[in-house]
Amino acid sequence: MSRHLSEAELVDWVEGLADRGAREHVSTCGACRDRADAYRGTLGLAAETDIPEPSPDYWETFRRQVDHRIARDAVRPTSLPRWLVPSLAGLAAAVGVAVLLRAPLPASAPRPVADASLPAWSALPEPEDVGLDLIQALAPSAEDAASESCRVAYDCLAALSDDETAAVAETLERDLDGRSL
Amino acid sequence: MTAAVSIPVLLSNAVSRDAGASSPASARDRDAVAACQRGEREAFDALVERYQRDVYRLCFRYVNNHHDASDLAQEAFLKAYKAIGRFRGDSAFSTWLYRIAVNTCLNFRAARKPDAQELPDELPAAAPRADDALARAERSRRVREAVARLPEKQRATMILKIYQDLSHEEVAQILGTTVGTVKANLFHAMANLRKLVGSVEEAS
Ligand SMILES: [Zn+2]
Repeated sequence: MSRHLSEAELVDWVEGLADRGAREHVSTCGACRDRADAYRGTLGLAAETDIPEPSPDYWETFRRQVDHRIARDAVRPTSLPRWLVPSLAGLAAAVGVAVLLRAPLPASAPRPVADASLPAWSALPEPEDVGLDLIQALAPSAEDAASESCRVAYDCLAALSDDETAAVAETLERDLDGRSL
Repeated sequence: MTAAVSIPVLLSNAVSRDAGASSPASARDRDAVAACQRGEREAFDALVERYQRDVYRLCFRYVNNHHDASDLAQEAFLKAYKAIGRFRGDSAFSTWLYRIAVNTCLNFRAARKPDAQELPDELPAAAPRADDALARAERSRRVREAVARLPEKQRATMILKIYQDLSHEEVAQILGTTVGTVKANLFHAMANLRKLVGSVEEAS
């Protein structure tokens, strides 16, 4: 191989998966060897970075909380991300409507429903399972970051016109599955 | 010469299960998923117990704090429960679950804050510490902060490959990309991480 190795080929070389041509090239190319060594060194540094471990008792609590959220979700079947709910509730207040969510908790969690029309990868409600590229595109840009007004969903929603607000309220009503707004 | 150089990835962070398609672990997962799909709620508890630590750790790598990691991990399991009826077993359950967790974390980050998509300046130099344990803790903290500053795809690739110890193929499945792209992203992630924590690397 007369050319330098690509990044993927260098990763293969470090993992011992390079083909013969790549191996022969690295054996005579200081530049590729340096890049591979640098990659390997940083990999080691990254890998030895641990995170704080919760106490052993924590996991029991964790499972109870998951249980609770599944049960609670039985009466609030919304596809909205949980962290958006306070923002949207704020919006509802701003447009002078009240969200009524006072149904009693169910005795048991809902049974999951199969939907054969969706691909296996549609793990999430469709609006959320948009893939990495779209999520990146939706992330606030550097310009947005500079603008305080669009930093959180509430601010974006609060900046809507009356017509836009009415449309969002209608969507919320649908999302909340008929409970009145 | 030989090119057989082992990857210096610490296995202490690795998931302990065998994710192979015919492994006992995957067979247990398949049985549990089938039971969930029949409405047997307790079967999901078993899945939560099996994967809670891995999902929590994945989320922690994204947000670097216990409170949000715990909330996001629970959110991921809730979404998995709601969607398990349409899990067809085309991938390992763990792969599917990780994809949900990654999406949950990305949504959270997109909604919460305008995280840097470009590399910022190098992190401030760490204060020198005599004690090895403290120095290691400080180094870990700085690497975690640097990881949080990586471009989104590089960070996702790195977390899944290095910290969740998944194969290139599994990472590609979760991120909806190719194995070649995973490897290239991993290489670039390490190059950018090196820039951000270069002084730490030299000090160690
Ligand atoms: Zn070369």
